[in-house]
Amino acid sequence: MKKIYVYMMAAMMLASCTEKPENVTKVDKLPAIFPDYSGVTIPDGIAPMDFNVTGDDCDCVDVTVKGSKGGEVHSNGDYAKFDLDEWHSLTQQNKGGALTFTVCVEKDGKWTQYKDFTMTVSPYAIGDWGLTYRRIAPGYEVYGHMGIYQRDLSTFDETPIFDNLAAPGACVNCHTPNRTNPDQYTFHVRGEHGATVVHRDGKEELLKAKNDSIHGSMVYPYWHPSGKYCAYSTNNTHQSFHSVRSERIEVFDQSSDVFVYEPSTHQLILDSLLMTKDHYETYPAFSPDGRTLYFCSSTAEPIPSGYKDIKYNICKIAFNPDNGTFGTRVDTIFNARKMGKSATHPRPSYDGRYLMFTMSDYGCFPIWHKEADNWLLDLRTGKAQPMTAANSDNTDSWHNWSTNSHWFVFTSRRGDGLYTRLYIASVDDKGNVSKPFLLPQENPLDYYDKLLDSYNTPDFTTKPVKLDEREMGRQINSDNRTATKVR
Amino acid sequence: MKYIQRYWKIVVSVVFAIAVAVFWALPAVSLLSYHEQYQLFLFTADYFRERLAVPGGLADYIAEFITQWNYIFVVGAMLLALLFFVFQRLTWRIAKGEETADVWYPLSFVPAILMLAYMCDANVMPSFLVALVLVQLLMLLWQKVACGANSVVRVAFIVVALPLSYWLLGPVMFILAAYIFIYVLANKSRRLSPWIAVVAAIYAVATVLFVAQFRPEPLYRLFGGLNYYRFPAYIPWPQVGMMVLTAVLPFLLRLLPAAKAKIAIPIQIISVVAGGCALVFFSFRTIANEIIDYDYLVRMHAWGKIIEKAEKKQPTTPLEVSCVNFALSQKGQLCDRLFEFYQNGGEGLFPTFTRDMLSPISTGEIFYTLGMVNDAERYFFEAQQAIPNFRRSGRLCQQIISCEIINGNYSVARKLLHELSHSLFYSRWADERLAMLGNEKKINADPVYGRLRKFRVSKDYLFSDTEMDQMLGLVYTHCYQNRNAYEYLMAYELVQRDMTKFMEYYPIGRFAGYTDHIPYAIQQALVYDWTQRHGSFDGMPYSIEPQWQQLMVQFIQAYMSNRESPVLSTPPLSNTFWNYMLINKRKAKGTKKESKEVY
Repeated sequence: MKKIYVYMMAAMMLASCTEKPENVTKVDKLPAIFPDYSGVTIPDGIAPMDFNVTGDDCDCVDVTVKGSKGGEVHSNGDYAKFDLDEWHSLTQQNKGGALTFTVCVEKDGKWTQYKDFTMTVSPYAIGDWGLTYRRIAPGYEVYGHMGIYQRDLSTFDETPIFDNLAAPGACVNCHTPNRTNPDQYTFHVRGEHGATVVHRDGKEELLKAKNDSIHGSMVYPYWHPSGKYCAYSTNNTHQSFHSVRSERIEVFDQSSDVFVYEPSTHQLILDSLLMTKDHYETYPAFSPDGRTLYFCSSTAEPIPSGYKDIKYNICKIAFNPDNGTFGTRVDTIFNARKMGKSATHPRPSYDGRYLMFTMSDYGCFPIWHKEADNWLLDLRTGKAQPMTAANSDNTDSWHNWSTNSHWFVFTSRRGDGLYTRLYIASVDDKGNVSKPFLLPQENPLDYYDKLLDSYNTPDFTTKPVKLDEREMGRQINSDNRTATKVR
Repeated sequence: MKYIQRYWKIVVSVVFAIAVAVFWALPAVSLLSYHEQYQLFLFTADYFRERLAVPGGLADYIAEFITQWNYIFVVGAMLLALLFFVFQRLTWRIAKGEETADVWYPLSFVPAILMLAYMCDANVMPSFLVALVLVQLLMLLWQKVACGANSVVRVAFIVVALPLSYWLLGPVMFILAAYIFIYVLANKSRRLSPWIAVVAAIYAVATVLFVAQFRPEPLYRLFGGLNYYRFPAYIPWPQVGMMVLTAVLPFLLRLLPAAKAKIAIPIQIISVVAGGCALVFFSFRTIANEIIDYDYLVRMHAWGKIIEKAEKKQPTTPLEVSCVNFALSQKGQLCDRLFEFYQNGGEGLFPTFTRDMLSPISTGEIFYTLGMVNDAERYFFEAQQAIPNFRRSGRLCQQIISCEIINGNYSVARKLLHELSHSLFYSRWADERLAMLGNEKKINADPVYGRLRKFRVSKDYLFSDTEMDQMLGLVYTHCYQNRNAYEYLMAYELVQRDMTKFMEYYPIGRFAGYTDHIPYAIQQALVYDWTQRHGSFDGMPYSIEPQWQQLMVQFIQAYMSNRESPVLSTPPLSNTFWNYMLINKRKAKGTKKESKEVY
């Protein structure tokens, strides 16, 4: 009997990959790895940057990571998998320095050592606890299992904030905290039991999804830094479907306006300058001082024939938070139409220096536009430029800033052209943008290969979001809604 | 005689199982296909973990393992019959444990027959049947524990079996709890403490409430079952009835008095067989199952059978009509025989998209065959997303992957193929496709992929439900070899009764390569158009066969003399475009909108 155990142990040891590299052949090329972490900049304390060696099947991967300021971690196995605590110590020790990865791969008993690659550890901490995002299959009109989730950035832990298992048939979207603080957030529920959920003062309030005065639902939100207001757009959104292979969905508004909601009074603050008939106004965003409201505006064009002529500029209007009134003139701060382009989804950095937006050929929904790239507008100089280091040949869109404005998260289809994944990159004091890294996962190749969801509307969160899912599901199904009224 | 006395029960049970197998394999084969196509059983640890992570997960896992065999319908039918056989036998074993007389054996078929009738609703999950069978095993175990073990063991059984059965099998746990409850009260002679009954009942409810702390689903679903019915928001009453019956029947049977076997058994058998057959017959004959049958035939590409079916009973729903038209097109008879079957406008060619898991599949197949690959993929994808219990579909995955391969999106195709390669029956297909990826020559040489790549348009347009003819025109003019697109285009204008557009598009048919004859429905329409403007057939520029000219004359005479003439409503005149145009003037419903609001 003992012999059997000995054989079993021996077999298990042979089966697992624990051999050390010997008689290594060095090659002068970088290892083919997934995700491409070579040359990226990471914050200290991020979850271990595990990776897989791709290409030909290999028997064993041996990785040594050395810090420029000291420290070392080692991994030996089927893929590069680092111990959580050791990894955290290494990144903390090397904050502002660099990590050098030495990758050796065994195949058919022969070891090959590839050219080392480095990863920069940013001097700027990420500052936030994690990310929030929606996960949903990249579909068309019908949705199945989906939900809003949160992810601890220092580990691989993901937990649901609200999963539609709790409210069958519901679709939730646009989870938006106030400047990454989940003490105040809003999200929408679509479907039979539609609502706009507003969480403040530790309570959730479910607003009627539609109000006749705004001719539609509350859609894209952005909180006022004071928490007294939340700006929304109201959009009459439609979608059509392309016939050629490289395109898929076209989402367009047949009308849209911007307004501000005051949660304490349930009042909607409307202004004729933000609700023009000959223009579509959408994607509102308050400046960090709360005295300016940015938004996108395009001339209204006939739909569907003129959908390619819908091109948005980024505009601004003054806002007085003391009494909730708007200024009397709208200024264009970035004229994308002049460039034959459309600028959407403006997101001012919380330090007030930059405004990030997405540039595409036309329309308000760049998420399905391959050419969509993120741009950075320096609010001090008024100059805008594409964030080349972070952009790709495929769709890059829907970005949000970290609390300290040194990091941003965005979605990209660069992986396989369909499933959006989350990427994080940094912006230094001089405005230099780093090469982004894919949200780390344990055994990432396996994880992302099996994941059949896209990530939507990511944002940072300073701490975990607390929501009683079942209670929220009950409230959604109850159809008790608070009506909004126009001030 | 001795053998009969000894084995008659098992023989009857085996005969029942064979009848059940025949039922599933023949008339209800489409339901087997339906179940199979809305799941994708994977041989992976993740799949097992995912199932076991929810209450009732083991029953789901076993049921899905069994259901995957429906891919080979005969095996699927046999496995399902085996489940029914075990269910009936366990029903009897439990009843026997309650000292039921053998003479009442035929009544032990009642739950199984009711379950069979219930399962004629295609959305009743086999998982419920598996859970019933497994909980019956626990009921038997309780009988042993209650009879032979001491009170500590009995309590231990309740403490372990109830939560475990809830987690593994789901709310059928309440059957066990109810059985224990009644058992304790009904068997006072065994000196079981009534507290056991009370504790079992409270403990069962507490178990669900405890689990509710860790699960997001609404309480009614945790009490009613997460996957006993395909639509999660709905707990059907028959399910509750089945649960009650399973718990109570053993005690009801033992109440029955002794009876003479020679009389009681035949009467019971006749009653159970007659009642059962009637119940199953009426439960099975529903419009929903008719539609499922059409979908199954489309899946099997059984074009001849679809046409045969429609010849026996005219289809009426848009989905059925579209399946018949699709079958005609696949047989090259669309514009020949179009008006031999009921038509309901454009809806009968391309049913309006609905957010369900069934109707978009066959419509997707139509788009796919026509070379409208993006639209086909959308319909397949939407059907998969609409599966209410969030399962994946092997059939739809295959179709989506094919669209991705045709479109050259190999990364996405590879990802989806990896998933499919972990299944039993789709893995070979997946491996073949994996080997194809990136190999343009091989893909172009594939008879289906190569053809559809040729058919696929290169100039972009936005899909519009209301402008199907324009889209079909673009598809056909992109590749004149796509004769199906031309026939659909012509058929669309005819069923829409749009003669102006029909005459506008008709001439491009000269590239379609008709050498034998102009399709009959087109000839009828051409004659109709001509006679609207001319008094005779002289000078008619089309190659119209004389039979249509003669029939047209007959039609005009009958129509002019009496519009209610029976001649007009019987073949051959009833099967003509003229009849559809002039007599059967049910206008196509204008339900399609330009585009739908998203928010």
